[in-house]
Amino acid sequence: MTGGATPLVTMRGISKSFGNLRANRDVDLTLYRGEVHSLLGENGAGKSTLMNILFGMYRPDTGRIEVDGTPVSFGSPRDALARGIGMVHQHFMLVPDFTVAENVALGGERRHRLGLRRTRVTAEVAELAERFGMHLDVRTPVRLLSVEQQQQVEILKLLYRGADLLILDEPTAVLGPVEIERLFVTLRRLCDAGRGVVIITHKLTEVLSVADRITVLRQGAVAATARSGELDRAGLALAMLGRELPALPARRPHPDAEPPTVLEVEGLSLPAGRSTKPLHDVRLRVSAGEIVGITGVEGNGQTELMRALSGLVTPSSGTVRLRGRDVTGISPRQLRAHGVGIVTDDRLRWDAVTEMSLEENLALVDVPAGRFSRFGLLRGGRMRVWARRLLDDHDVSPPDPQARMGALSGGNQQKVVIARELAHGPDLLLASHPVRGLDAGAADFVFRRIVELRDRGSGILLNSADLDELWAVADRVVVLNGGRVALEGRTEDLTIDQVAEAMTGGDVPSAVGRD
Amino acid sequence: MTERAGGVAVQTAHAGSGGGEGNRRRLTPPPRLRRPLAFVAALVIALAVMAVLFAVLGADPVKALRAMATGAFGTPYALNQTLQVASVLTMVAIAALIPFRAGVMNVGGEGQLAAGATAATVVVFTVGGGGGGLGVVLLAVAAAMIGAAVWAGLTGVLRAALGANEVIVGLMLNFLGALLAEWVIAGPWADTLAPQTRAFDEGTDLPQIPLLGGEFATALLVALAVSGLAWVLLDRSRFGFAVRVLGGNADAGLRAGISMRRMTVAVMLVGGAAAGLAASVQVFTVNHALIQNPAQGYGYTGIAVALLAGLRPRLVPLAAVLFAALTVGANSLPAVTGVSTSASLIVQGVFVICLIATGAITVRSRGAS
Repeated sequence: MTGGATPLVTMRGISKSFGNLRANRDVDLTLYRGEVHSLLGENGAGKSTLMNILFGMYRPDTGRIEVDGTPVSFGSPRDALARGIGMVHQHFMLVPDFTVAENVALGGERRHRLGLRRTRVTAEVAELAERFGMHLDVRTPVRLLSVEQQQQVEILKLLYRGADLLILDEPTAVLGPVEIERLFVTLRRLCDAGRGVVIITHKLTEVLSVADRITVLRQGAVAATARSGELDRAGLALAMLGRELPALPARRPHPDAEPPTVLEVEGLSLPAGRSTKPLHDVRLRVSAGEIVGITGVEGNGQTELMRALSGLVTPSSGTVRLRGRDVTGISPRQLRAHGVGIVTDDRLRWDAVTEMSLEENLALVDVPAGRFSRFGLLRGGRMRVWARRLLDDHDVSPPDPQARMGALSGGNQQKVVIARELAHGPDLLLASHPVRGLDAGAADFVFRRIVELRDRGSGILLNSADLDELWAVADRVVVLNGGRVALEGRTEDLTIDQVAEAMTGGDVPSAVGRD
Repeated sequence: MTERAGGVAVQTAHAGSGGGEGNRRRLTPPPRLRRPLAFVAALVIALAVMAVLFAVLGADPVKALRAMATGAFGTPYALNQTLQVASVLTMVAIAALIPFRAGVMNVGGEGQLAAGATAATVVVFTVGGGGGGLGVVLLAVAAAMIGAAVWAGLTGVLRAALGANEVIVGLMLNFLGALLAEWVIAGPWADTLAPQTRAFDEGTDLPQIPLLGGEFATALLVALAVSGLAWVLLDRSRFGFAVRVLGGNADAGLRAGISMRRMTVAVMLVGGAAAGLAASVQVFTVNHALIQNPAQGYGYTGIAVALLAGLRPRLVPLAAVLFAALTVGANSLPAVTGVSTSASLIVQGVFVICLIATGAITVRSRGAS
């Protein structure tokens, strides 16, 4: 590539502390035009801080930054944008009721002091989208777009402002496998057009498939830098974690030849809602000691299926049986009493109360059910002892029962949720994206817990968009497409291609895999 | 993550992520001190604004501020008055605070006070024939609590059953509450001179505690007990646990098996009962009759008190004393400086604006639900 040319950006000796936390220590980073640079590291390794410094959101305590060989000092993102550096954050900053073109033009309209020249702007934005391989109608209001398309709008915003360097913070966290491929195509085109790209990520597979150059951060410092191909998966993991991750324990066949059925779903249907997808005649089965994966392109009914099974929405028809007992439409609390653990796909919405303490979050479902209280008064001592044990068992940091949930990192919050849902040894665990957004260490921990649960004879329904993940742990997969079961089979009998086909294919191969 | 608000969110990057806000960080105090400092700043700014205001109105600012301080704390009588107002404000603030903690906006304190005062009065005239001993008084207090709880419960039921906006319903019921009082005043127990009912017979009082001049001490103790109970209820009880879960994250509450509907009604009933107690204390220690507009704006001031206390029951009495001092202190303005008592309202308003402007009180609204 352009290794010998003047770097687009050089950062030298960057350090930044927040109170006692040293987020970045003496970090060097060099970015070139025409390259995808992957910034890899666990949560809290300092990736976002470093990029926020480059984007002008933070000032470094020490160190210097050069853009195209000229020293710069950014006081705000505006300064960074003026020098051609733009960033797409994990949380999009879009106006829902504005069209794509309006969102893109918003804030960049200085070029048209006499008011927005709507038609010209629209044409420009459409042309940009076309050029970088985005299939977008720029006249559509943003609220009608998929997450993938919203991300494209964020990228267009930066391109419209003439950004030479695009920083994307965990861009793949919200995307399915097909969408990730498309994003990478776009990124490649950006590079071909002479832009530079930084993607912040903690997923090794992505780094290996897209990056030209890799910088690994660990505890705020650079742990490794490499060109693509110089480090393999194991090498990257070692640099990122500082230790090797042992392989997950192998599947163990259930002692019974015909293990009992834990969950049986028949003919489950749900009409489409304002922002929810329909389900049609879904049928599936989870046996004791089995992990069944649910997958599909985002928005094909996985979320709705898991919600219906979790008792958060009532299906319009069909039955759900738990160990032979009809539990269709019963509440989450009753489900728990029947031995169901639930980890939803949106921790901050359903699973955690960030303003409350860890012990209270651990007891979130137990207290309303009458545990840890006498005569209506809480028994704080008992709750604390119990919480302390769970926090220790699940390696939560900090292991302080009175710490506020909101003060924890995402990975640790998820550990708290997992600890709570596994605490009573459920017969069935309904887990949606249990490791989404978690770093490799935390994800490994969560999967270990799930596998342990399986080995103790529980059934697990695992909703995940990450096929590598499913192939690592699931015994069977069920692919949803348009709210129907498009494919079902044992993971060892299926290829990833077959699954990808079922996820995206229009016609449903109804005969395949059903029982 | 992707579902909320249709998958699109307008957010400021990393707002309040705890990581500090870059360059501004060095200028801002550590989080623990932020609120107290903001509070002090608000107080100083409010005093400065008041001083300017008094100067504009032609009064000597120093003299006026001193008059307010003396009027609030300077004499045993002033202190008594301040503490009495503070007691009522404490209970009204608790009435707002408990629903607030569950994410339910109880702005119906005025109506609940009026309903409570009316209920107490009706008991005194019907059961006691216009007066009576401790039995009648206690019965009237109970009636006030029930009446106000029903008034508040109406809002809760309308929100829980029909999804009605509790702020609008609460405000409308405030008007109705005042009219209810008027209607009773105009009834058979009307006073011949003033727009109020006849005064209760001598001795129709709360039990006296021989401290600080009698019945106000009772009011104070009741108020302190109410804030203590509210603390136990919120922080140490199963009910309070559910309240805090709903206030923190209603969806997580649903997931944990807490009924939002039932709790909405429950917090309004509990809050209303506290307002009813406040109303009866006001009736038996100050008015000894049902007066026109019995809430006198305490219902609204109570909200400000609850917010100033950061929705923490243990801080409510302190916040209440502050607001009480502003109210009572302003009463001596006309005599000393010639400034009208309505300056008291301005003073309170200025203070609340300063509190909000400095961030000493923050008002969060949750999305439509």
